[in-house]
Amino acid sequence: MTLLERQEQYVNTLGELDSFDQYTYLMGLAMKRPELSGVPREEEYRFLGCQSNLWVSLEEEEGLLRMRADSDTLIVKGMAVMLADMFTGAAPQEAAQAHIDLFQRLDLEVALTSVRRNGFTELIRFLQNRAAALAEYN
Amino acid sequence: MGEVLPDVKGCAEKAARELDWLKANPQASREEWASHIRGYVLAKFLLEEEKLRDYLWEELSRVPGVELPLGVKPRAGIVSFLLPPFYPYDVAVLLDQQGVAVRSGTHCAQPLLDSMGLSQGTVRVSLGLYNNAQDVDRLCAGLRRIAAIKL
Repeated sequence: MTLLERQEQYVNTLGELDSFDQYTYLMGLAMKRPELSGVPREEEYRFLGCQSNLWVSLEEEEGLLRMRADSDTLIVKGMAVMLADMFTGAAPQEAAQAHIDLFQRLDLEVALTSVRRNGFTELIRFLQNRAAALAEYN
Repeated sequence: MGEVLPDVKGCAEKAARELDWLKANPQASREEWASHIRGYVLAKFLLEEEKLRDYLWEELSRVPGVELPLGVKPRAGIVSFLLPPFYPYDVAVLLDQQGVAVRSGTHCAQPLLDSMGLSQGTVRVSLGLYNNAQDVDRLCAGLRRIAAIKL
């Protein structure tokens, strides 16, 4: 599955849930995907700009991206794990150029207050810049 | 040291005293009357808040999983609590989805909360004049629903 196909899958899955269940789903995702969340809680991985603590890493392994994300709040972690699932396995070039808009399309209003939305908009921009840099390096 | 905030009994007595004074002094000056009416109204407001605070404390204590880190009933209508394993922010978002607005985080008191071993913050309920027992019931029902989530 491509990055955008995984995005569609998340938009469809979450789109069928009411808002309380959307958050429950995200918290479950945060707990159920350890392979996407095992990032050291160290300063070099801390993503600044988010209201909650958020740690992310994006690396390349044999030509494909591997992203991991962690947060102390389960809802934020679940949102970041969705991104980690989308980015992981994608080619750097594909990730750098993809139109990633799931947070705009999903109606997660509370977790996406203006401050928070800036946080996630910034995170996506950071990830795509890093993916572009990795693509160029190849 | 004097009492900062009166208790339920103190508020009720104060309200009754002010009311007695108003009844006994129909000829008093407008200023005196205004002063005692203010005292009466304030005492009644405080009385309602104290009663509601007591109700909140009792009901919160009965919700399975709720932890009250202070351990003693607070003197004002503000109660901090935790609902592990949920992080305070998660609890606040899930309560918000059920129409209950609370604060979460470190409440601009990071050093204090760090020293209490609560660096992750707390969920905090604040009562106001506009709150009633139904609001407390709704909060506790919302917390029970969150506590039942299987992660």
